[in-house]
Amino acid sequence: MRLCIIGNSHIAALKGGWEAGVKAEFPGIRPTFFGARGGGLTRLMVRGGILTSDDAKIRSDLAFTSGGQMGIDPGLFDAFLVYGLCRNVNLLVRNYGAGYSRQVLEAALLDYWAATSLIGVIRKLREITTLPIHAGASPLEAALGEAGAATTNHVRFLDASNRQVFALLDAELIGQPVETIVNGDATALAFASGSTRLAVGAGNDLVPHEAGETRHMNADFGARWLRSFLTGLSPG
Amino acid sequence: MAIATYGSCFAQHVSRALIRAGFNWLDCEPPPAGLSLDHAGAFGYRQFSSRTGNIHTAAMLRQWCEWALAGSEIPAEIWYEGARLIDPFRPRIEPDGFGDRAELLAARTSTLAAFRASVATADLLIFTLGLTECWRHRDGHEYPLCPGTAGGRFDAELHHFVNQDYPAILDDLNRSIALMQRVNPGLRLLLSVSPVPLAATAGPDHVVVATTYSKSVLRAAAGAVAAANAAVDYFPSYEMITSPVGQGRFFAANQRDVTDQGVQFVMQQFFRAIGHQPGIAARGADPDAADAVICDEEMQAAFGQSA
Repeated sequence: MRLCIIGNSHIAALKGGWEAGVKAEFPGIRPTFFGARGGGLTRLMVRGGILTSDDAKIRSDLAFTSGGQMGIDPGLFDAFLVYGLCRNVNLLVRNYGAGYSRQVLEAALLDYWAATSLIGVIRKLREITTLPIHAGASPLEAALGEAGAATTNHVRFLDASNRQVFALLDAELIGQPVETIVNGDATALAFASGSTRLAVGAGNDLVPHEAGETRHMNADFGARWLRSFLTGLSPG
Repeated sequence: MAIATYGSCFAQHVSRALIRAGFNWLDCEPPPAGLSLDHAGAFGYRQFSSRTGNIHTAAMLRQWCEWALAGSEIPAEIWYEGARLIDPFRPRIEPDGFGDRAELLAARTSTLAAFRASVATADLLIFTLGLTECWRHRDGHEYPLCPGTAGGRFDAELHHFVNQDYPAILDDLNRSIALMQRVNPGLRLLLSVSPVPLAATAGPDHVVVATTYSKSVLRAAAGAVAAANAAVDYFPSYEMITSPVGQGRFFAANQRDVTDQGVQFVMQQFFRAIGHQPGIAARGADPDAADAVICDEEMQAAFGQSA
């Protein structure tokens, strides 16, 4: 399967995980990564049936991360994974344990996703392809905590997001592997250790994030995420 | 200084001005993460320090104090609109009503706790009196809106109109303040009267006459309470907007709503009085200046009998 992976700095963990071992476990998967740091992918646009950008820096980032492609041609792939491109997911998860009414929760979820680049990229992608689109939210912010806590709120957040938002785009939001979650709404702090910047051909490519970084995860996390996703994608 | 705000729709302007000016405005029942400012307002968040909706009268303030601070039981009454449920004591808090009884009661419990927290933690509570006219159940409890306007059904056997008088308002204010100061002995209060005239009256007089009665009585009661209690002060927002000195320029074209300029003028005087500088944001710089204030009276007017 030719898998197109699109995202911001968070795909560095996926790339690291893929290279560190997941590649060998899934020989039938041929991923191509398209990344840009920060909010760069908000500059993506559809032109001639291809997702590209009018910003030379973004085109350069896409080319560097993909190995030479300055735009995303849906004809070259069998499925898409759009990853990261949103913030404060843990706060949204916490909403589900805070006693808000269903109507309020629904409004908050719609408002939240509508403002994310993740949905923006999926919408643009949907303009040019009917192929499967999967999505992965940015990791839950890391914290010290206890594994095994109930992830009920995370599941409710995922279910509601898929039902209210992603299903309408014929896409699917994939949850974070349960074994990476502590306290029910955070990523275990160990996965934030040793994370690196996304390599886009800049001077600080693959430079480790500052000590205390809690939003970006390492290659171990990326491997677990990809393994969980790809196992579900191609059972057996 | 932690400040809590409650009251009529004009009090929502006070809340916003305090937020914009960077005060420690108490938001004891914050909206969920992700909810836009527009939707937060539509669901009754960030209007007051808890999600009470408008509290127009001194009697309604006393009700909330009794329920949240004194453990009095809230009447079991719930209004049903098809499959949706309306809280009679804040009927516009969920635009389409609650999904079921448990959800409504859970939200109410949350607000009672937040109301109590706001009173317990505030250094200053600003309450803006709005109305004397109200609708009550024969059992004594008061509604913020006449049953049948934003939910429920009007029943002449159960519901009746009351135009509150000076002694009753004085008593309700004093009882409310006593309950609040029992929870928070150091609490100071600032009373004001909304300058927004009545949209309609259910009484026999012309709405102009009814407005004058209502505002006069509220003004007198607020002044009397402030004069008798060292922890209470009166802030003349009503006078600033309605005084002939203003030549009516603080009222919008509908001759009822207070303009942004009027609100800013009032709040500038407020900030100046408490020594806050540099004051509120420059005119036109406010990103949410166009936000609609949720004014129950307009709803009442839309469905009620105009004077």
